[in-house]
Parts: sequence; structure tokens; C-alpha cells
Amino acid sequence: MERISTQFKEASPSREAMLDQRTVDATAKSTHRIISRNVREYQFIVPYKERVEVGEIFSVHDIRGDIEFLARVLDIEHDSNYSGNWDTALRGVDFYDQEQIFNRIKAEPLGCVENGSFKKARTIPTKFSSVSQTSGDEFSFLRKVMGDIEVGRLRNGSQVVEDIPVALHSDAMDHHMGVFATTGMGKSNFMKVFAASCMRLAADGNSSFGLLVVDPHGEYLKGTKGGRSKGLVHLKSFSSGLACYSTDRENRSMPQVEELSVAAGEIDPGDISVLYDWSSAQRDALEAIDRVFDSASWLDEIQSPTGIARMVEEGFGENTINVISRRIKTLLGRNSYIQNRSSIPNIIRNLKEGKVVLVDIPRMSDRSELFLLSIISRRIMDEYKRELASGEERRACLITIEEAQRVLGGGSGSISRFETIAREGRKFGVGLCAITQQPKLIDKQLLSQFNTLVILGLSDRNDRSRLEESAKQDLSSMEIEIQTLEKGEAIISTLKIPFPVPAKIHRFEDYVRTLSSEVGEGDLLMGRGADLRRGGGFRPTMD
Amino acid sequence: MERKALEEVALAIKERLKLESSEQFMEATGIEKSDYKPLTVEEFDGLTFAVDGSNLSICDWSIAQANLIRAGYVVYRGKAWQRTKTTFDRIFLADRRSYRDQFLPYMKAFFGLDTLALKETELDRLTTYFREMQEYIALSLALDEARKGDLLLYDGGLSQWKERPFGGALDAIFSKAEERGVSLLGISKSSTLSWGEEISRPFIQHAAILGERLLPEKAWYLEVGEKRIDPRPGGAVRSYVARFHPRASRAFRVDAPSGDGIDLALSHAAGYSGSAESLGYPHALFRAHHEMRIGRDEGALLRLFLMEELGRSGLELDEAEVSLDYHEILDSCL
Repeated sequence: MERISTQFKEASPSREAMLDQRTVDATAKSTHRIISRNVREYQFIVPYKERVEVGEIFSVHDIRGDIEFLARVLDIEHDSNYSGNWDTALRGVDFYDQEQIFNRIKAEPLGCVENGSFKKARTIPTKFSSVSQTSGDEFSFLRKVMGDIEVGRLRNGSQVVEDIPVALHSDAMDHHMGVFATTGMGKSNFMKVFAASCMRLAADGNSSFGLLVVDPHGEYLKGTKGGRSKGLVHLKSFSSGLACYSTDRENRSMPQVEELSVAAGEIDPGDISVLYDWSSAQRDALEAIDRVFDSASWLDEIQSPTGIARMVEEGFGENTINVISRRIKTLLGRNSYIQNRSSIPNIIRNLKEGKVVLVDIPRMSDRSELFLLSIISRRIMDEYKRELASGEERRACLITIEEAQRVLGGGSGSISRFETIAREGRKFGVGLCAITQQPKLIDKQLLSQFNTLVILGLSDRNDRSRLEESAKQDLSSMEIEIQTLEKGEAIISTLKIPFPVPAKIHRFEDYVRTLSSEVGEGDLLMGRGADLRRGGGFRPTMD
Repeated sequence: MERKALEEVALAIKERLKLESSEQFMEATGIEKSDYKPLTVEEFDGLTFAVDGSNLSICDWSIAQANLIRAGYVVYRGKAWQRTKTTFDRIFLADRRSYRDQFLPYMKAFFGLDTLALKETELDRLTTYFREMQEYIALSLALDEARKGDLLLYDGGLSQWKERPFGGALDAIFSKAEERGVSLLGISKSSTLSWGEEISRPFIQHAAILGERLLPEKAWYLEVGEKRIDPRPGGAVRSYVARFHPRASRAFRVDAPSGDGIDLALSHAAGYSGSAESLGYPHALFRAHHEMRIGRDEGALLRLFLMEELGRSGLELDEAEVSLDYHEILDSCL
């Protein structure tokens, strides 16, 4: 061993030979280096005054060579090379040894970039590899995995990475999508941005699915009154990608909006059952209607004395049938869109063309909305099933359901119609876009069918837990980040993008303005704007 | 042990530690209110050097002990750490018969001394002496770097060692400090200075309590040279008690080669005793303590490597183990 002090070969050893003098000075950089821990968690340290945010993505530049690891910050702790309770002495507030006192960053590995391609990391970075905040260029691999429906920009912590758009894949849309957020976190804004991008694809002739949006709040068409927010009609450049149907007299007067109508003959007894809580006897009677009456005339017959008498003959109580008859009368009286003609064939045609179909039903009651959605969804499923059987080519379809917990909570009766779409729709090219602020109320198995999750901030731990349990990608480590999302910020977990992506969703009004300024209406109609848009995305302008 | 016995011990400790009467303390020690001098907390432009050392037993074969010894110093300018210099970091193999061969080359090379005589009772503490010698070498090397007006702090007392084996080395250090215009202070983390007649009471701690009563919320110092304490500091070295920060709960014993400029030197030390890391203790010494400390893991690793080397040298592991101090075998079972 070298470190035996007394073994001097010379009679008069030099001072240097007798000592082990070595100096470490302030130029030695000790922070921004990986110090631990394993393949599931990296830890590195940064100066204690440096700002780092949960969700921020850092690059680990491995000292072995051309491999770069990416890791997302999960947690930040005060730490130091000194042990003891010196930093809890309230009397002392002035740190002298700044390089000995630091923040320990705990980060989750996202993967590694090797030779320009991204893959999951099966090893750990070399100890003391340097760490830096990931820059725009280092995210460039993400461009390759993004889809065609742009919804925002990549977000690194609270910083927006302008060069990297976040875009969903059209061909994942029949695998169902969920949009989850508490009130005011930007669900409607997200859906409008999503619809606008779908309109853009449709206007360009690049759409591979139709989007059905049923809007009971009257905010998607024109935005809110007073012009504080805009609607889809303001995206004039891509109006050819939008088809609107409305029950509102004023809105129907707009040139691009048709009156919504549903033919009475399209109504199925199953559609009625969604509206009320029926007793088991009443439910039995509803299910027997198909057998007793002709499907084209049952609605009139069951309201007539002879029809009621036939049902009584079938063994149902008179009171039971009277209740059903009375409720149907009320229903027909309240929903004036039930007429002799129907918009549904046109709606389905628009969807097959890959358009965004907006069904505008302002001021409609909760029950009536579900009733309408139930009829349209059933017709869409029937049509797509028929076409699959016939081998006909058509675009896929995505049906949007607001307050989806109403129909995806694992109930029975006609509500299970939507559950059927969630379970089987993919086979026929029909997907669901479930929007809710209470994912905890959605059936766990149904939720697991959703391959795209857009999470815009959930304060309820049970809501977050339900999503973590059901997501295709591991969200368990993102608890803190989801909890701390600001309005308009999202975590998007979807197929084909290798990890849950933090995003800043475009503000719809900015999106409309930017698209409108980049693509003139005339250019679009002539198809010139498409190349420009595909060239390099856009930069949203701020108010 | 019975609770009654513990209770008696607790009472005996309390009797020693608790300062019941300031007047009694002042009368017994001769300390007066005017002895407490307010200390101006003063920053300065010079460098602060802080010297410390440590040792850790690696293996003990009774007739020879292998100890890792480390010594060095840190350098600060104001609150900013500049560098840490390790001056010695080796295993010392303590051997009563050959200790002169181990010590004298250093004494000669660094202090120009070619004699060293340890008493028979002192030979049991060869490792401690070797570490002290290395700390004095570190002091000497720090002085080589220091310039006029700089402050040199040593983790330990200077007073009692003057009459010990390294008195000559300390003389050389004191002279060098004086020549270079460097203020040298030895600051002790623990002190056996005591007062009282029938039982020993802690002098530094009680002086600190009295100081807080007389000069609350102030930094201060007190010279102890002529006071009635045990053991009474002797020789040329001057001893003090100092509280370096107005909100510090502790005071420390401070030794200085002479009383010249002590007020300024203590003020400079107080100027950098306000860190959150070690409030009331000169921060440079805090850092030096941490930088020079040898961790148990490091000791365990060295022991492992040493055993491997012993194997390579032809000594079987059994032979090495059977010669170990049996304390080591017993303790390894814990």
C-alpha cells in the first residue's frame, strides 16, 4: 500500500514524499450530475437556489458516449452534504457553503435517445454524468412520433417548447379518448382546439375520421355571447370541414347551420329508457314493445287506447302502460326536433366524409340530450356495423359525450348502449370521446378501453387513482404533476407517443387567429395553404 | 441499573452542570462583570484558514495499530469557500519501538527539530500524537500560504500543548505566525476547564451562562488567565472564553499565542460565525471538521483492502485474525 507513512526508502525524504498534499478548489463543479439511483429513478443535484419544477424534463449526457437519457422531475427535496439539524435552526438563515447545500431532484426515466432514435432505457446513466434542462433540439425526436391532430405545444415544466407541437394520431381515435378535468381547467377549450384541428384535416382532405360533438351548452358553435370566446364557425378557413345542426332558431338562420330533426320512426323503445328511472315492470313492458307493435308505428300505437289495450292483453298492468304512454307524450311534446324528417342520415354521411359534425342543442335538458345522443349513437353503430359486414370503405367515427359518467358508470338498460360502443365500437371503427370531471365514476373496465387520455388537472385523488389504474402508460409517478397542472396544461397519454407528454394546450381563440393569419380563406379553398401549414406548424400569439 | 441509582447520578450531574448562582460563580472564580468585553462582529478582507485532522482505527494487533490519519485545512475569503487542502492522508502504523523513525523525519523536515522524547505513558497514545503532529504540519503549511492580516484557526487548544512533546513545533508555528502578521487562534470544541472546590463544575459553560445574563444578545469574550480555575492556563499562551454570535447558545475556549490584537482577531472570527450550518462557531472550522472527517465506511473498506494485501504478502487470514486485539473480534459480532 502506498499510504503507509513510515516506510521511507530515502534517509532524508523530501517534504512532498512525506505528505499527500492535494487541493480541491471552488472551480470543481459538483452539481448537475447524476448521483444515483436505479433504472426506475434517477437522482441528481442542483444548486439550492436554482429553480426546478415538477414535470420538467432533463437530459442526462452519459459520459460513456452517444447516448442521452431523458428524465422527468417527480420530486424536489432540500438536501446537503451535511447531516444533522443545522438547517432547522431557525436562528440561522445564511448558508456559507453553497456548493454543499443543494436540491436533490428525483426524476423518472422516460427513455434514451441513441443514434437519433428514442427507446426505453434498460440501463442507468454512468454515475456523475452531467445533467441539463432538455432543450428544443433534444426534443426533436418527438416530432417523429407526433400525430396529425395538433392540440398544443410540448411543455417542459411551465416552459412551452415552441418548436415541438403535441399532436394526437387520427388512427388512434377509434381506440377511444378520455378528456378529464375539473371545472374551469380547459375541457371545452381543448375540445374546440381538437375539433379545429379535425376541421383542418377535413378541409385538406386528410381526415381519416369524423367527429361528432353534441353541445348542450351552446358554446362550440359561436362561442360565448359578448365575443369573449370564439366558436368553430369563426374558423372560416376550414369551414368546409364542419357540418352543423342546431335546434336553436337563431343559430339555424346561419348559412352553414342546418335545422336538427329526428324522425319519430327512428326512435327505438330502448332510446326512451334512458330518460327515466323505470320500474322493473315498466322496463319489461318497454322491452316487449318491439314484439307487440310494428317498429315504424309503435310510438303512435302505444299512445292510443287500442295500443294500451294490446299491451294489457300481453299481461302488463294498465297503470304501467299508462305511465309509459304519458311519458312518451311528454317527451314528444318537449322535443320539437322530433318530426317526420331526419337529419341523422346527413349526420352519418358527414361523419363518413371525415367532417366535424356539431349538433348544437342549447338549453336542452339533460335527459333530452342523452335521448338524442342515444338515438344518433345507435344509428351510427348500426350503420358502421352494416358497412363493415358489406366491406364498404368509410372513415372511422368518434362520438363525443359530455359528462360521460352519466352513461359509462356501469349501469344497465339503454345506458349500456354507450358501454357497448366502448367495448365493441373499435371493431366497427366507432370510438368514444368521453369528457368528464369525475373519472372515478366511470367503470374501471370501460376506462381501460381508452387508449388516449387527456388529463387537464384533477384535484380529487380518487379521480387520479382511477386514471392511474386504467391508463395504458404508467401515470403512477405523475401524481404530483397532475395535481399541480395549471389551467390549459395537460398530460397526454396516447398510443404511438412513447411516454405521457406534458402539453400546453393552445388557447382556441389564439389558434383561430393564428390559423386565419397563416392561411387565407381563398388560399385554403384552392388548397395552397396546406403545404404552408405542414411546413412548420405555427406559433400561437398571446393576447 | 435501578432507577434510584440513575436518579442519584442525575442529581450529581445536575449539581455540576446547573449554574444556580451567578454570584457564587463570580466569587469562586474571581470573574467580574467588567471582564466580559463586547465583541464587535467584523468582516474583513483577508483569508481565513481553518486546520483540522482526524484518525480512525483500521486494525488493532495490540502491539501495532493501523490508523488512517487525515489532516489539512480549508480556506475561505469572507463567506466564500476557496479551497480545501489535504496535507496528510495515510495509514499510520503505531509501533512503540520504532516511533522515533516515524516522527523524526517530519519533525526535522517541517520544524527543524531532530529530537523527540515521549514518556512511557505517552507511548500508548502514539496515534494521537502522530495526528497532532500532522495537524501542526498543516498549520505550518497554512501559514506558508497566509499573508499579513489573515486569520488562522486551529481546531484544538494551544495552551496545554506548549509543555508537551511538540512544544518546539508550536514555538516554531507561533514565531512564524508572528513574523507573517497572521492571527492564530486555537478554538476548542470541548474543554476540561473547571471551577469549584468540592466538585468540578464546567467553567466554559457557566461562563457562557453568566455572559448571557450580563450581556444578553451580544457577542463577547473573557480572558481567563488570572481566574481561579483548574487547570490554570500557563506559559505565554493566553486563554479566553468567547461567544462568537449574539444568538449563539454556546461559547468556546480560545487560545492565542499572545494577547496582542486579540480583540481584532476574535472580531474577525466572529464575523464569519453566523452561518446557518454552524451558528456561533467559526464556519471555516465547521467545514474543516467535515472535510477532514474519516467516515466509518471508508475505514471498513480500507480494512478490507488491508486484509487482502496481507493475504498477498503471505500472511494467512487466520494468522492475521488470530493476532487481532480480541476487542475487534468481539465488536465485529455486534
